[in-house]
Amino acid sequence: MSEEIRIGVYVCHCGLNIAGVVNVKEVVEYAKTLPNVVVAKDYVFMCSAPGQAMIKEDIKEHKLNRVVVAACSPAMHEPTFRGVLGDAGLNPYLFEMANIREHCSWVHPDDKEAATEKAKELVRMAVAKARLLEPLEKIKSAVRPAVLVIGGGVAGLRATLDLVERGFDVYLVEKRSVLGGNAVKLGELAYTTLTGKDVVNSLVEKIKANPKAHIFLNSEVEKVDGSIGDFRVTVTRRLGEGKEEKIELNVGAIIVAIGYDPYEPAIGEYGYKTTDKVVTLFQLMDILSEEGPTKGELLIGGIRPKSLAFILCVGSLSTTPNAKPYCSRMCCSASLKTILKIKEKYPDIDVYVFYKDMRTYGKEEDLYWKAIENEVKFIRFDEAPSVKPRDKFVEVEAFDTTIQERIAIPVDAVVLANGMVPATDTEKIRIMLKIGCGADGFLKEAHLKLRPVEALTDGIFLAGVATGPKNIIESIASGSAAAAKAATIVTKEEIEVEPLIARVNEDMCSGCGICAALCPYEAITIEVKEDGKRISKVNSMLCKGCGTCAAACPSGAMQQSGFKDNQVMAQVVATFRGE
Amino acid sequence: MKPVVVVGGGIAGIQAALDLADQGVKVYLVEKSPSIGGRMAQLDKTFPTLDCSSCILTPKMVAVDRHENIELLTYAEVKEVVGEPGNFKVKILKKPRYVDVDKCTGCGQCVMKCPVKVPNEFNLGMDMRKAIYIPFPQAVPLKATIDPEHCLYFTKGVCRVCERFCPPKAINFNQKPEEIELNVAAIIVATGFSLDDARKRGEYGYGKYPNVYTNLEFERLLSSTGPTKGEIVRRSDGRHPKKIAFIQCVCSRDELTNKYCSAICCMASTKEAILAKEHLPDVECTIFFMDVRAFGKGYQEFFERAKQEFGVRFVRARPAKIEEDPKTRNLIVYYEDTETSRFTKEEFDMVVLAVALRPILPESLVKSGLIQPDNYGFADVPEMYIEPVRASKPGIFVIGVLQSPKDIPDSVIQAGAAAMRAAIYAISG
Amino acid sequence: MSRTVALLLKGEVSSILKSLGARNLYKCYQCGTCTAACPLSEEVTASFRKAVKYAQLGLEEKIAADPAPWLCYACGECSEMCPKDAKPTEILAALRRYSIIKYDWTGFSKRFYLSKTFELMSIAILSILTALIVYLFKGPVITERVDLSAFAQPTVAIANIIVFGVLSLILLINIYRMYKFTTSQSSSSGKLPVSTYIAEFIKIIPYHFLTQRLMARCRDGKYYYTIHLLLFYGYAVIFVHHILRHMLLPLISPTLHLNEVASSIVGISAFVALILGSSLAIYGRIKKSTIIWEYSHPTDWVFITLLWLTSITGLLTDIFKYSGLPLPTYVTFTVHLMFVVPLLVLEVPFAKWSHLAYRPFALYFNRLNEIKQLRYKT
Repeated sequence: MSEEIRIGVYVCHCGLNIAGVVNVKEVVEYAKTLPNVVVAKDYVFMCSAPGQAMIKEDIKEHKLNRVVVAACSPAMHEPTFRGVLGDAGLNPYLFEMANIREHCSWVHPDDKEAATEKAKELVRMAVAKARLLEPLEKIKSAVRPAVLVIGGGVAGLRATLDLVERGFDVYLVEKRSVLGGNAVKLGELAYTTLTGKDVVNSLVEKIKANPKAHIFLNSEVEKVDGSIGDFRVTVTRRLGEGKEEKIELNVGAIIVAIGYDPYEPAIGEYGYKTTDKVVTLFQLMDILSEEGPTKGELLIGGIRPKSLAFILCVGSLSTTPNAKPYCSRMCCSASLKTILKIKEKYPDIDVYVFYKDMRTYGKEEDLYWKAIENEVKFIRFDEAPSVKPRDKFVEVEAFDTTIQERIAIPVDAVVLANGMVPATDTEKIRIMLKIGCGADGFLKEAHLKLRPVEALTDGIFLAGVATGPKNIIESIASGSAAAAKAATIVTKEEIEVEPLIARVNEDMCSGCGICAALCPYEAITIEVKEDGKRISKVNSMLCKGCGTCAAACPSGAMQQSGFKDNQVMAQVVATFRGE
Repeated sequence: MKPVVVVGGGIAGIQAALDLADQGVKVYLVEKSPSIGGRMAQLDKTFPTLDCSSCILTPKMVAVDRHENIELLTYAEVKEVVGEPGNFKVKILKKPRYVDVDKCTGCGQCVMKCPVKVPNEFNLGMDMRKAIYIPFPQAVPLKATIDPEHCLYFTKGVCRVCERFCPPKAINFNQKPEEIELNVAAIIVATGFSLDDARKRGEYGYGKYPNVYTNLEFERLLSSTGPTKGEIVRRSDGRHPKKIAFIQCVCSRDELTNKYCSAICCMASTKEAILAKEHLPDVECTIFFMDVRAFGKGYQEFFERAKQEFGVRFVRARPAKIEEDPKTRNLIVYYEDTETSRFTKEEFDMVVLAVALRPILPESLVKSGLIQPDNYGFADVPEMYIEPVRASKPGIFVIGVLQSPKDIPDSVIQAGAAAMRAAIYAISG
Repeated sequence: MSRTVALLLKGEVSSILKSLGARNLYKCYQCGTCTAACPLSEEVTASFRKAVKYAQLGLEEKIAADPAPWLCYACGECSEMCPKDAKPTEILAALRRYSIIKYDWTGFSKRFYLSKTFELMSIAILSILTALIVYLFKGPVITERVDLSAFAQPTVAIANIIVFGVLSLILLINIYRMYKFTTSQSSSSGKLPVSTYIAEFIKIIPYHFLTQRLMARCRDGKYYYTIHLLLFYGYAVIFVHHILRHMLLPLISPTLHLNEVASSIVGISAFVALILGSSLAIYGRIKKSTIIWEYSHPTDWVFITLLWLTSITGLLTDIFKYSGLPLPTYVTFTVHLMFVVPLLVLEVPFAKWSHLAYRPFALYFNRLNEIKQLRYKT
């Protein structure tokens, strides 16, 4: 601790990005006046090879033990400069960055003097913090080369097949007695004679032939402990006659592919369950399937309908009080492909489609065009149609916004294109795995755009409709994508995480539990020691270093490495007190 | 283990490269332009989260640049591919930048001194770049490139100003094209899209009336790195518009041009209308649409927000034509509101056309039959229900808008899927 | 208040419409481009898109009530801009044919439009009947000079009464039915004063009847408009000339005669106009040179062919007459009548030619609805 602090400050021009506004030379001269700064230099691109070499040489020549770079955002080049320190034999965490580009030159291009002053202040703050930096070591842990896949629908199956083909052991846990999930009910798929079942079978056959795949049917995940690289999982398998067994698994990553439930209309919602002439789209697809109750013959309520009305957005787009606000994405196309298959088999049937927005996106627009050409009649509504069962027929009535008139159509049967809702298990899985879900009830991805198959908790990945409505193709793709992410974990022998996490000073901790309650990653638990003392414990693999606990800790026992109270306070003080 | 080639450095290609490299697979990422980033780099913000596009993309671009398993081959094109899954021979032509990338620091001195101005592709020709240029500030790699078609030295044999002013002496007029041959296990193709030519629907006046824009041009207008530094101003007179019309399905859902729906435009225009409102609080935004295709996660909610919170007006109509008032350069949009059956001529001072996405198929792979175009010209995916990213030939994967119109999350998912499937070939190769 | 329309099942209406020329009816996805593309939308309140939707759904009453098809002069602008290639021009033409069927209370139109055999048979029967009447009731056949009046007087007199009396009556009844249809589906139930009816009638009917100004507003309409004017005025002149010469003047005084030279110039030039117009139209339809002529229903061919034959034989009759060739004159005249009678009897009240009345009246009824809606807007 008595070691003399020797700081080097490096100010980057970033071409003209910084130097065009900030007087770099002036900042360098100012840095030289700051305490403990033994060397200060500028360079046109500090991140370039010559810039990096300069820092390395200085570390050796001037015996630097802290480095400050004033340049761009740390998100951009902090890892670069930490690497420079490491190469020069210095602990990489004895490095601080001042962002004088995004925070300074880019936002104050019109006031060069003030921008230069601000750059000086930012450097002063960084130096103040650098003085108090401590060396940190990356945290490493062994990785189990196996993956748990929860859910045996198409997404889970695809992920399983990919990972076993890639050479990893996969434990596939399916609640029901068969694999395939909802896809088996989809019947013939668009543009093909392939059925959902065929797709499932082709995946299942290959999985079963691979010794790396371990399938657990009638099984549910009961408990999950541990963290990325080393999850300990308890699975319960029902054996029949009320018996069950518990299986312990140890995996490096988890893929959640728990799928969805078809929206179940309330009794009386569009006449549902008040007459056997109203069925859901999922029921219809079952009726049309060869293995269905009618062996594929179109019979609804015992008769072969001569006319059919499809109502779209059932359970979606807030069309009824029970409906969800979101779009279920696949029902438009699924309805139209079903109609086209029906029209092919029964050309004389009259089909009416009540829709709100025709969402046949991408190439599926073709289904809409084909349906129009097949003389399917489309009625556009804003307010949900009413369905009135009569003696011999069902009357569907709606205000058609395209002609601004109410239209009532007597039909033989009504099909409700029901959407998707989160699977019943979603809540249980969410709590067990400590992952989030959105307002729509589906599991939440780490980032909607760029991390769509990752959960916020490291090592847990999401596939299929678990995160929101998708069609079968998209579900399968996301199964592969989640598998790829899992592979990036289990392919490594060891996993390294940043040491910039929360740590507890056990002597100061009173075990009040505020931190554990606030932690958004559920990384903190309260443990009772042998002497009865309660202390918090941080799981370093789960902690993201957000600092919430450290900020809330009343005693100061919780400290955030790299952003300790004294380090941050030194920065704050330096902000207001010119040195 | 054998390496994998990823063709195309947009978000799909970037993500595929990262997902492979993170699995320990060596990746060559080939990009035909001087920088990776693709279309996403040109966007201002992204729907439905309104994340700044380059803010979420740039870290990925930097990660590619820094990844020990990724070799970036920018300004390069795949010339020829032969072979079988697990064993493809790929010939890549690296075009000369006439700049030694090992020496170039990206300082921009050369760009400042270069006397030749050329329409700037990154800003869709709405401003000028130099004959030596760095495509955009966040470019990866951040290196200068000489455009020999416009450089005075290459066209007239004079100048060489850049050479004189380059501090690290990186300019090299003698650079020659370089051919690289790789032996790879699999190829992931993510060559993306361009917008169709809005002039095909001439009745909207694009290219004739200055205040008619494509949506990509409008993204550049919104962007702080765009030609107007983020100010929405009219091409004709530099004024802020008071009324903007967004017209959907231009060259999409159209028998004459492209029959498919371009999938992203509804949400993109909704977003652009919201951003316009954020830039100019008094601007009135109207979106002319046929169906709101708000099908993705959070999209319907985003559309509702646009209506309720931002007051964006949605009119269910496909305008037939636009005429220009030659005095004011305002635009008169002819439409029938199909929900009231009323014909209206409404005046706007700016019109933004949501133009269809057209896939860019790499010629070399189409020629050798490794990728087959489908009815619409997208890359065909024959086994779409089982292997949704596999091209006609096994071992070749097609992802992103190249295979069908799609948004960023779906492109990213496909990138992961292709990385997974390609990795299986790589480890057994 | 909007009513509920109960849709009848069976695609009867749509299959009729398809046979009437709505080839691409089931392509339309209701974007509204057609209405917005129409050069006339600025002048008249009509939704052509909605007309197409009525057709797709097969809403019979709505179709019959909708004046929109009559406001279309088939310039083809909408078909050119239609993103679905639904050819609204053709759909609207089919809807006009369908409306003619609906307006006609005799049921004759329906059979005429839907059966080619019926169409040709009725023409043939009328022709033969005409020949027979001429043969039976002909006047003296004077061979030393041409005296057509003597030859034709009795038959023409009979024909005048039948043609102008009966046919006008049928047409008037059909127009009244058109009126009932248009008001039956009107969204406002309010009434208008009789003075409005009269004032609008005076404002609209003669003006549009005589100028067909809306047609001139069509895009590239000039060429087609010119042909149409040739046909219209060629016919109108002959019609007026005929009335004057054979009905009005003899009625006033048997000694009153038109100047023979002037009369012959007027007659011949009108026939020339008709021949020119109908020849160009036939040529256009064969060549499918514009969107309007891309599709020709059998009744279109019959109409234009009858017109052409009528004009040719009319002109020949005049030529023979003034050349002093008695027998050829009488024969050609008989043949002429064999074309004129079916043309007038079939086309004016029951088929294509009825548009001469329906078009201006559609404008008139549409205007009345507009006024009503303005007045009773809630």
